[in-house]
Amino acid sequence: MPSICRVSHPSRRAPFAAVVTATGLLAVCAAAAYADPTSLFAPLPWSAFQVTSVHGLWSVAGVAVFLPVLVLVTAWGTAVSFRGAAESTGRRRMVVRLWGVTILATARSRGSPR
Amino acid sequence: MIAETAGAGVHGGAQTLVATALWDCGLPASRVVLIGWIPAALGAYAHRYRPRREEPRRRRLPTPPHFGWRWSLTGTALPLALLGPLVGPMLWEGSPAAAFYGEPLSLRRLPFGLDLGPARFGVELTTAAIVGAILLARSSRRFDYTRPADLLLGGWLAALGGGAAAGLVQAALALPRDLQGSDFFFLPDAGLRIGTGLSLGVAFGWAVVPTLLLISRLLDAISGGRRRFATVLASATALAVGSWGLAQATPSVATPAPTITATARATAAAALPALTVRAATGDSSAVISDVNGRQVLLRGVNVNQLVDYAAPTPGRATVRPLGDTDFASMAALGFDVVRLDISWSALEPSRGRYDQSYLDRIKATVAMAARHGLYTDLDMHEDAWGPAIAAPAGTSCPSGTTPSLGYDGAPAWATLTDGASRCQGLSRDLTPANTQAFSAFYHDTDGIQTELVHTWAMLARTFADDPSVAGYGLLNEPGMGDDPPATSSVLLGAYEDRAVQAIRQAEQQVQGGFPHLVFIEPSVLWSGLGFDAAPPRGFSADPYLVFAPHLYSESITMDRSLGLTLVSVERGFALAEQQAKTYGMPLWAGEWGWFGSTTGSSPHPSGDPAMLRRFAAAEDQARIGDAYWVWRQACGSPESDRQARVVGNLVGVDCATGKDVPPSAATISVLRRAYPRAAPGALTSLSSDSATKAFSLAGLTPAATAGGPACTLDVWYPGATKPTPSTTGITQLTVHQITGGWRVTGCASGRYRLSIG
Repeated sequence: MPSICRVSHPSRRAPFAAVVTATGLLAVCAAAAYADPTSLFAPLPWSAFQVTSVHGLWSVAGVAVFLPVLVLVTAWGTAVSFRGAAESTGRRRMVVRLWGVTILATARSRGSPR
Repeated sequence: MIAETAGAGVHGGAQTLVATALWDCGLPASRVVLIGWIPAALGAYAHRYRPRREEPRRRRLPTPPHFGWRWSLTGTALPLALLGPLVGPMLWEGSPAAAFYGEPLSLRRLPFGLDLGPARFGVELTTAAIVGAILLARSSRRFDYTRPADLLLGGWLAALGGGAAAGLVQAALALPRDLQGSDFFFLPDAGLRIGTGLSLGVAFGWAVVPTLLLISRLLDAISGGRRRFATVLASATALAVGSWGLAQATPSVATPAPTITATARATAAAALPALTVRAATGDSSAVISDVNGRQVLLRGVNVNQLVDYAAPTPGRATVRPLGDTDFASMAALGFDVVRLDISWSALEPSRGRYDQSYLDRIKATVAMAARHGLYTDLDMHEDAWGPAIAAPAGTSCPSGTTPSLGYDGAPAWATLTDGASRCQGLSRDLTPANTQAFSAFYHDTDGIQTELVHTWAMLARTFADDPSVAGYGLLNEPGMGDDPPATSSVLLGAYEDRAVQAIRQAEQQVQGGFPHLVFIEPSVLWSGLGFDAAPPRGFSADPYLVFAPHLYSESITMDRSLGLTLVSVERGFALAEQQAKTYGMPLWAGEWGWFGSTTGSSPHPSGDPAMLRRFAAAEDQARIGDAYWVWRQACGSPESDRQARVVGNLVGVDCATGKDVPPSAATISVLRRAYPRAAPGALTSLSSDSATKAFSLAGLTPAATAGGPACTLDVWYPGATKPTPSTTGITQLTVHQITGGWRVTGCASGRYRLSIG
């Protein structure tokens, strides 16, 4: 099995890579938010990961809208990159490509819970 | 995004929406640059992806002919050129670094006096286009761009890279200036500029591929076999047009010139004539002036003795009594202004009902200050939103956080925290309940912002015809809320504009009323960092505004806990001056001080004398005024260290005995140093050495001034020894003694100078 995985076309592993990258970004952002409560350096404030008792729909927008956008754009960008990658595309190029995807995903989801 | 700007009122138009969208992207994206490689590596490696070894390394996907670098250049250049001038100024103007663009990017210090000026846009756009084109062309060999999704993603990522490169160019151009001095300002400055570039890429990236395909077909149709020439020509033309358009489209903010109304002019002969703003002209900055046309330096102190603080220590008073002797002592130090801190929670304890007794205390205090020759800046004080943010007794907080003490500001009925945590972490301003309450305020939830605007109108009616009221501070150290920084500044500017308009309407409703100054603050981040994204230029068209940040660099800014200096005292002044210049407003330091510790075995209530002198030198060089923080502080104040024996950093108090602790001689010598209370025309230089008492000033009046108040130079000089001034262009010189020092007066005209010692 491992040898098959090694030689199969990257597009076959796109779903798994998408899940790993999106989950990883989420975890890293959460860790940064926890470690930097000022959110001066963390991409997201800690409140982006909190659900509180609130009045009105908008107050849950952070969790209901922001995080899904972050996850979906990351997963989409990762999957597209793997599906469209040439077989000669190496790991380093893929890391750079996915790095760009994480930046784009964060930018598009706007980095704010509100 | 639309909901985010819902509280922006008149600012909630298309321009604000676009600016908000752009800045929503940039800052989080620039931060994720630092950590985004981690999930990227996880994704790329976790599934053990590697190319098949038997495949030749050089094998590439078939590339469509229009993905050569020339085509790509056209595809990236055209969106920038066509869309850039439309939304680019909003991007640049809305960025936190907007105010810093003027000088750092003006390359006048290049040899031969070369000045690129607006061509900087060309440099940035060209960089973005070329880098984006190279990235797109190169990636087309590794990814299948015959598929629409790949194509769209590839173009967008290429634009992101191009934008980041443009930000790097900006940062590099700013570097020579950023590296001057001993601080590390180049770090946050580079981060802000790269964030701007990323915003550029995100904003335009979606248009790269559609433009590329469109241009490819178009040029194929019209160029015949000369595609290479056509693509290069099209790219160059697009960049030139785009750069020119961006430079032309940079908005000029038209603010009406300040006028002196007849009611204000009637106060010309008063001991404290009404204050106004003299607009910037040519190379001279806008200044605070009186109705006689004299530049006025407001120098004094904050008074917090009317503030309604939370009371974290039962049995200990949160403020010290305020009386006539306080103002007499301030006058003896040469001060001519107090920033009188008042509390919304005391003024409007229940919604829509003002506490008349508190209002009477404010009026009495203003009158008391005026009797001692002191203007009053009525400041709606607020720290960490309000006393109702205090965590209830018994609140258990996670490790590393403590229950919020609650501070001062908004009443309980206007504190909408939606159940957010009241546990305080690194800073009181970042307590979740505090940020939530500010977001509710900025979005005018339940009309609470409207209530404060109405309160301002009431205060403005009360003091409409009082020239001893210098002006109004709309909100002290406003928090950021739960919005991204730039969005907060847009919303803050919207509140400030609403309040200003309400104040002006109220002043017109009173016979004898005239427009007072309004002191505008950036968010509390400026106090905590030394810079911030201030409200965008043009957020208000009112001509009587004064930019009044708190200049705490190298004293209590957050970088001190990191052991480095991001913004030095001198840089703090430079940044504040640049921001004020961008607005076309005078500059005034609403708070400063705390250059030292009040705790430990040898408390130093007044701070480091050397730092105080550095601040004073920078302030004199800027020729502005200030209000030192703070006149007195009580042992029971939530701002006081409960373990400290002595609290306060000017007139201290021994918490064990309750007796006053006088200020140190070094502090007093700096605070009461000589300065011109009023100078005809405008000051062109000012220097005042607190140690040697050497003093000199120079000024210029626009034309020969007649006698009377308009030509009267009024200088404060401290000490018991009578000064002997030497002058040029000054007649009718008089020196008379007052409590604590001397008043040197004379009639100045044309170019004038005065020096002592």
